[in-house]
Amino acid sequence: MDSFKKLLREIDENINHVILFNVVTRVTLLFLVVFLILSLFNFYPLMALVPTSMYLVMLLYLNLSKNKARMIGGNYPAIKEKLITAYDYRNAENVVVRELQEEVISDMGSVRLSSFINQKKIFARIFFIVLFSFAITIISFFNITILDIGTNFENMKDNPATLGVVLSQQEDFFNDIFGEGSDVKYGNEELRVEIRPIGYEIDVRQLSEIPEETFGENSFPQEVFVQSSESFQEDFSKDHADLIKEYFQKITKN
Amino acid sequence: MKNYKPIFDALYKEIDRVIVGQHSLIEQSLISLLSDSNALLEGYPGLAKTLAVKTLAQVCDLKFSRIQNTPDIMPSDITGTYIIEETTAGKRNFKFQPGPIFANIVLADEINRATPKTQSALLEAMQEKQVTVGNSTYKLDLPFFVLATQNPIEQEGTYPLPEAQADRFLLKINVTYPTEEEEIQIVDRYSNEVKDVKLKAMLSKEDLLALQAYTRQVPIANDIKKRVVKLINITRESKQLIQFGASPRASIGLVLASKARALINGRNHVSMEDVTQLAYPVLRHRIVLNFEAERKGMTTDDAITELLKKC
Repeated sequence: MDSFKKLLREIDENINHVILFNVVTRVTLLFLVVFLILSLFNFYPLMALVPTSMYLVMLLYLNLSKNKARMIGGNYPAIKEKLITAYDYRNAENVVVRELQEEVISDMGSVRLSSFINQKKIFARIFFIVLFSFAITIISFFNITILDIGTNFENMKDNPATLGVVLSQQEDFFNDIFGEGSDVKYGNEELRVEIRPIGYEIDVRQLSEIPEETFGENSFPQEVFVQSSESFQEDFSKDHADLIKEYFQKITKN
Repeated sequence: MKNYKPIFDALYKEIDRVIVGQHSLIEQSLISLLSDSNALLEGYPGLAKTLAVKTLAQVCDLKFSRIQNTPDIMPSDITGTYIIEETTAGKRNFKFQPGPIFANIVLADEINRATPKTQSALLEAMQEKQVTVGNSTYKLDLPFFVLATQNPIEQEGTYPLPEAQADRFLLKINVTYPTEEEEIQIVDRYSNEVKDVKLKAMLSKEDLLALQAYTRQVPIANDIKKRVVKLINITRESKQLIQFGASPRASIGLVLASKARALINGRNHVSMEDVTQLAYPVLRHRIVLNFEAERKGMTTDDAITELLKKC
């Protein structure tokens, strides 16, 4: 029974190696395909790691948990029933089971690891891995893109106006940062003030050369002459002046 | 286990000296013997049922007895009874006289002719491997094996075995007519000078007991076991064909019979072929077809074929 358990362990190890090789080639191929597509659209190529990691975990779980005895039985129908029965009874101890296990051990000599490797598929995968690797290298070197989604995505984050974002949305956006843009009063008049942010781009088409100004005689203000003004005292009568004088004397005495 | 295949081959060869053909009858009788169970034989008269069982007993060096069931047979005729015995001193006492059931292989001919009371006495011995007479219980010598026969014709005045009692037989073996070549051999052998054939014992009682123990040790893969249980479950669920399905006793019986067949064929594991071949003798007396299936003229074997396709 110990030798049979040892055989089962060897089967597990060897087939796991084949499974891991298959999984690695498949995952690498998927990574390269996704990386290539993302590179062509210039959209965070390293995000290819996300679906690749999920695929890796899924493949490892599905393949490593398979019953290796059944896998061998699938490729070698002649020993399938014997091997699966011996596997199911690997912990049993009796004369018949021991004989069965010995028979299986001797039959396993005809099992070849190469029968679990699909050479055509492996060669095809390696070919495509090399092909996509070259494609990625060339695309990176010549900076080839089909559609620059990545840059447009960055621009959209910085200035939605360039992509035709609704003004009200723009106002709301600026109001959030700078407060009410039209909350300025001068006296009783409310002034509409537009605050332009720092990153405001100047419309080049509106720029022009500074116009030449000529200053002629008409540009200076007119002269201002001082004129004397009449005093009210010359027209005042003596009786009226005495009345007023007495009034103020009385006030001061009180 | 391969050591025993040549022995079984030699056993078949020895039986062939007396019985022409009927290989499935011999094989299935051996399967019942190795499974430590009993079998029901159904066949027309004159098909060497009795001769085959008697020959098997001789080749396996087992004590053989025959019970010819009739409607007036009493249970004590089978189990035995107390008789008065006089000693040399003149004293009289009761002594138990064992009945024909005290053998290793018992052939109960036309069991459906015996009364239900007598059938019960036999079935009790089959199940418990012991006999109770009065207040005393007597153990039967092992291995103990009952082969009961039934005549499919001449059902008048018979007491058909109820399904609950038929369920206690591991196999129901259909004994068929020999082929033309076999019949010519039979005619040649038995219509000329009668020769007394002395058969050699190929197996001893101890060998058989050891083989019965080995049979239970033969491994069966889990998926084959599951298919056996699925098949038995399908017999209960297929209401469009079957009125009453098989019990868990059928699952045990089918697995045990498959192990015995594997051993006889020199294999140390059960194969799916063992299960499909033995499904028929194991199930044909345990399922009852419904009216619709009978109206279509289906036999239980036809129903079993349909069920095997489903699992």
